[in-house]
Amino acid sequence: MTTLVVIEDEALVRDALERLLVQVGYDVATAATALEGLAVLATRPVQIVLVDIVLPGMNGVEAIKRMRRDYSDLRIVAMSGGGTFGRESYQPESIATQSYLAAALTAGADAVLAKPFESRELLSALHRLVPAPDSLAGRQFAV
Amino acid sequence: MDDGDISGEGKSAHKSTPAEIWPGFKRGSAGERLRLLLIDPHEVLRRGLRILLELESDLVVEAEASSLSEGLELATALQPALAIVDPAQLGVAGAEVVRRLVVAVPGIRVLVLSLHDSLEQVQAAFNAGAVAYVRKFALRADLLHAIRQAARGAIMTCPGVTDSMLRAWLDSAASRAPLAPKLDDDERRVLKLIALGAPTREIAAQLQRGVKAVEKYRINLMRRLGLKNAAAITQFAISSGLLAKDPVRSSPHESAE
Repeated sequence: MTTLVVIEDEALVRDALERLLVQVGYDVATAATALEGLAVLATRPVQIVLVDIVLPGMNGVEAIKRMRRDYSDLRIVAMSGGGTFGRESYQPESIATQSYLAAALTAGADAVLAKPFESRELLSALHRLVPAPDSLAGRQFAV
Repeated sequence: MDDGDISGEGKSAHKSTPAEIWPGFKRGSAGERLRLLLIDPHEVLRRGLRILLELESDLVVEAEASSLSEGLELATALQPALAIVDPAQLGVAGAEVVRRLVVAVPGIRVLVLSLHDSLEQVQAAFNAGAVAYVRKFALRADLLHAIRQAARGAIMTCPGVTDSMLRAWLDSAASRAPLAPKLDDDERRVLKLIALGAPTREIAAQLQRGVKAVEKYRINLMRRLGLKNAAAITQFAISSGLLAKDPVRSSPHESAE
């Protein structure tokens, strides 16, 4: 079974992602901060990390740099956007969202997803990174 | 960029790159590139923005600054074509950030890139010397267009800011003459003649109406407009533009005069 860690500070989003990913067969651990996520990686083998960029404390880009440094085989999917500021929402095409994702990609993320995304977009990206459960053979890189 | 490998080479030949995901809007030979300075306290956004901007063949980010003092120092030393600044969290008011930049580096053009877009902030930024104001919610294409135009001296905003400015301008125009547009032509003429001090009999003659009818007009108009006396009527007529040449009433003959 492929183990995946979701690092997301918004509980509703984190829970929704966990439910979806468990349903489709992933072994899922969750973390509300980057440090919590790194702690999970230190204690068990993990194949994929799904990490938000805007996080309290250590941001997602810094976390990606550390994960890439310490876990070379780890597949990392960064996600950003969909947050709100006052009456406004970040749109997937906004400068802010795209800047965050570009920073994540150059920090070492294998794929990026602009929120809000459909579950099939997420699953498609994950399948490209780890095509079959318990197998990292034939890697494809997603976007 | 410290470790910003945007070429896609390195860990994997198949790894996606920013250029694949966000292809540049302008391709090919760019000639002289626009030299940009980024001033934003948010490191992740600054880093990502630089990557996106440098996907454009005609743009180059010469330097990044995380504070106003660093930004002023770099702007003075590098004399960029355009400084892209998020004044939030730089320790002083947004307009003051812009003012210090344009004072320190005469001729520099400043584009404000901000999450905040209240009209007061937009107006203050322009009054302080900014040439463009773009929201961080704006599309990348809108920012790129604003950068290219602003670097040539155009005053630029993005959708959202422009909408708010137009709405405010329309509201302001409406509030300056709240009732005048609702008056019919005869009412406007009566009001105008009263404001000019014409006696009722003369107004009646001009309108080819009876004196009593004109009196009725006057009373109704004063009640509707909340005007207490002739002085108030005159003031209203001036502020509503009724004493200016009235295009509605102007005949071709009057216009030619």
